[in-house]
Amino acid sequence: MLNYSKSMLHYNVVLCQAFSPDGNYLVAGNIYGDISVFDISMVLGPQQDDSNELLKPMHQFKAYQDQQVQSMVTTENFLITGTCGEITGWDWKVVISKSQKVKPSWTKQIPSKKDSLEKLDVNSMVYAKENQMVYIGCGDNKIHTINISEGKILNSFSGHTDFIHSIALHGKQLASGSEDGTVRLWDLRNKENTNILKPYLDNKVSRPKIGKWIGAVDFNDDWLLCGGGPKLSLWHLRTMEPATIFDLSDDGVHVANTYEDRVIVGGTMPYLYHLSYQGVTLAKIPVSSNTIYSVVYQEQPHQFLSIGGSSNALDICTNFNYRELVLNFA
Amino acid sequence: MGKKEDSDSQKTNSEASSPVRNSEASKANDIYKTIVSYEEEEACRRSSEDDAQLFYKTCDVIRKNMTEIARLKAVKDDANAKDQIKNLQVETALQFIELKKLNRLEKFRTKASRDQLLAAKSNVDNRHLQLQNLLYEVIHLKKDVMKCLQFKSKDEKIELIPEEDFYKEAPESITRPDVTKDDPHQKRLARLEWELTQRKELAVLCDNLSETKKSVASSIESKQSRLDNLAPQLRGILEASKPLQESLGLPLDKIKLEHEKASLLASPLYIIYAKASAFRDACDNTLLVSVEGDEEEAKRISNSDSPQDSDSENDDKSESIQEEAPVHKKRHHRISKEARLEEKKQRILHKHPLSVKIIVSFKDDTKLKLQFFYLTVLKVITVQSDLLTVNLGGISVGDMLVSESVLRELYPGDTGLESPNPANHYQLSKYKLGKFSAHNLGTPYKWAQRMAGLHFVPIEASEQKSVVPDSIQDNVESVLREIKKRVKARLELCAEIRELESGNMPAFPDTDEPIPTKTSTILHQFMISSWKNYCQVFRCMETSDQEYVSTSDIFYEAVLRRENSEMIAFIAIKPDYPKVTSTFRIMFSPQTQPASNKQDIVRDIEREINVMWEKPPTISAQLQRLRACFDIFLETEGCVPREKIFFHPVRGRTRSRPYKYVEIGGGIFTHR
Repeated sequence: MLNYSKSMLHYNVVLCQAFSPDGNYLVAGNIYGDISVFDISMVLGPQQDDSNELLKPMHQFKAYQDQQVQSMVTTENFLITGTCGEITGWDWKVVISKSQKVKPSWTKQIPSKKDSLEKLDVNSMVYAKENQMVYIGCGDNKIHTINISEGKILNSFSGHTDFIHSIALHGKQLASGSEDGTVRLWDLRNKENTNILKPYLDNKVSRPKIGKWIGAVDFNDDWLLCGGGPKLSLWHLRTMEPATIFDLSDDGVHVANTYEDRVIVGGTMPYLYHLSYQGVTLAKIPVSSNTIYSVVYQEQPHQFLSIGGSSNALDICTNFNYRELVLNFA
Repeated sequence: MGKKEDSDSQKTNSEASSPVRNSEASKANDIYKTIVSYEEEEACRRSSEDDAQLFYKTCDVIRKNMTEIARLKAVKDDANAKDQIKNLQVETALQFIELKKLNRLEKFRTKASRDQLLAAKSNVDNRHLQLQNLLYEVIHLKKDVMKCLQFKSKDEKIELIPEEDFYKEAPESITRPDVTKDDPHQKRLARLEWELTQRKELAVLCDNLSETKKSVASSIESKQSRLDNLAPQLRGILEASKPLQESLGLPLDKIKLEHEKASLLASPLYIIYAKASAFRDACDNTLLVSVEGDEEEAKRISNSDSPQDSDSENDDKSESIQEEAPVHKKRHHRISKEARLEEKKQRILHKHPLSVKIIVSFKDDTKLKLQFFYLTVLKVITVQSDLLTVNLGGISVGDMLVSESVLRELYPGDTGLESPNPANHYQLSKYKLGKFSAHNLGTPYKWAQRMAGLHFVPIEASEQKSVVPDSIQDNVESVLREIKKRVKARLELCAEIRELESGNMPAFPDTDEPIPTKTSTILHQFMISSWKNYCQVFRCMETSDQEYVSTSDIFYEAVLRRENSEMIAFIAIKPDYPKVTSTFRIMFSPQTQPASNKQDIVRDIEREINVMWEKPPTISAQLQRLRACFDIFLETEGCVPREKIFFHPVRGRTRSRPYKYVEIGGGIFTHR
């Protein structure tokens, strides 16, 4: 177990989470560069006497010294984590083995401008299973592509003028939301930018007080969901017009996902919302964090939704509608 | 006719006697008297019944004569008749005389019987009187008898020795068995007499003994006075020998005295004393170790030491019995019970009369006085400490140099608020004495117990694990070193605070980490605050932080200002400062609120100040960093013109600001 002072835990922020390929483990990364591993069946299992012990992670290890674990994504064999300037692959077998020393399987530097003093952030990653590609939304305003099986860094998508907050993959299309306030759609086959959306220019959506940045983006065949400084809004892909503008009392959106026929949204607000496409609130789950930075969910083998953000706590829902329990990152 | 004769004779008698009377006529009425007495005698002699018969007969004769006369008168002419009448008249006259005589006799008899009656009556009266006198006498006597019966003798109350013993012990002259065996009264008298003789003997004995006592007392007095006179002489000799001892370098007396005193210490205190003096002799000459307190009291206690332990249980038992006692005595009972309870309370909190005093000296005439006490019943060591400093003159140094605060949490978690002996909790709650700290007994630090070789089971299991190996802390040296370190740190902290209060930020805070030196934010104000104040500001907003801020901390408030923007920092300095980072909580003044997401911004800055250090920083270093953070915040927020060098105002998904300072070139700010 890692040695945390109480004040360190108090100021902890969970930036990213992921499930293991078999769905039995939840991992989470924080700003101190540590990764906690939770055994889901243990968490959901019958309560034992010492319930405090249960709410702690099964296992922890330090992924990066003095760096944040900024993002993570799961492939068939690896847990890939991103930090300043590099991504790291961790063998799942090692991650869940409870061994004291967890060594990374591989590390890949993200190419950046030589003259920059600052390393670039890895803010968002998605994995395309069919061609084993990982798309990385980075602090250098680009989306880099890496082939996991070969370990090769391929082309990059550039066009944004500020760092990228969030990327989303659907079919052969990629969407990215950036600090510059735009949402761009990319065609992966032609490797070109197909569309640019600027929500901050839309009066109904923009919130200049909070900023123009887009913190979260997601899309499917017909609809594109984005939010951040501007309000969370659902855009029709073909017409590029806002269809639904969700009126939430948030101070910025950091997580927005379309899931089946609902929208899951979190940010700087005390609740995680489940909304219908029409804007009807389906569920309003109170959360421990002031700001939500990560929401992950799965149906199999356990229905499980975990919310992480600016606190030491992970809020767990098992039926997506109310908070079942709270785990401690450390 | 007889009557007639009778009366004839009488007549003759009376005629016969009359000449006697006549013959003695010269002698006055002697004859009359004689006749009277004679007739009296006659009347006595004759029966009254016969006289009554005679009276009736005479009356009949008279009646007959009268009737005859009457008849003869009727005839008238007869001369014979005249004679006859004459005879009859004489005869009747004689009969009348007879009647007269009878009457006289009767009179005499009546008088005689009357006299007789009178005599008899007076006789009866006399008897009656006599009877009554006798009756009175009887009643009187009866009363006397009653009185006598009711009389109680004084001797009944005297307790006598049993009869058998009496016969066994008393001499024959007193017992006199021949008399006393049968006569209980005599026996009693004898026993009383024996008692008296015995008592007399005892009284004599008593007198003798008191005489002896007096003489012994006087002899003691004389001896005492001799000893008293001896003492000054001895003292004089000792006094005189001192220069010699000193010149020879042998502080024998002092050491001896100390050691004698130390031998009276309670064993835990003795351990402290022994260890501390050994340490003094071996390593640290500046250390002063001494034994203080009332020696006589200690002697008394060490003599009566053993029973004291055992009686606590007995007391409890008797108490419980008395509690069950009948209700009618309740009031009286309660008073005594309260008194007893009070006494018990006092005893529970009893301190051993002797204490060990250790004085640790520092530079600048600063001295720390530690006084160790032993609570004989609660069985813990308590410490009273006193920090003597030269007046440092800071206004808001507050209780930082108050001795309790200096030693607070010398080792993590050792607040000394609760007794380390878990048994004490029960002992105190039994007598409703409340918390240990409420009784002004000194502070039962855990390190003090360890110094004294007392080991208690930690109340929390986690503590058991975390305790530093005992062998180290048993060591007086390590504790004293720790105390020295703490006091030094406190003095330094005081100096630092004083600087800050007067508004002087040190240009180069004492830290290894890069600290931005050029900041536009100024420390506007730095002042003491309090836990209460801190709670008022934050508790209502957030309760989770109680874990790392507590009452034992020292609180300050700092106001930072740049142009019109203001920020207030609430600083909680840990007792263990500078080993433990002080906790800063910040608040923006109302005019300086961030446009959005205030909580995360505050959180980021606080994290930067409180957490992001390699080693625990000083307050000044933290404040300096806070100044830089405030600059960065204002500059990234666009409130003030940009002066610092940084690449991006915000970065990453958290949109964090470049609070981290890197010494490259003129110093740049980057993101974490």
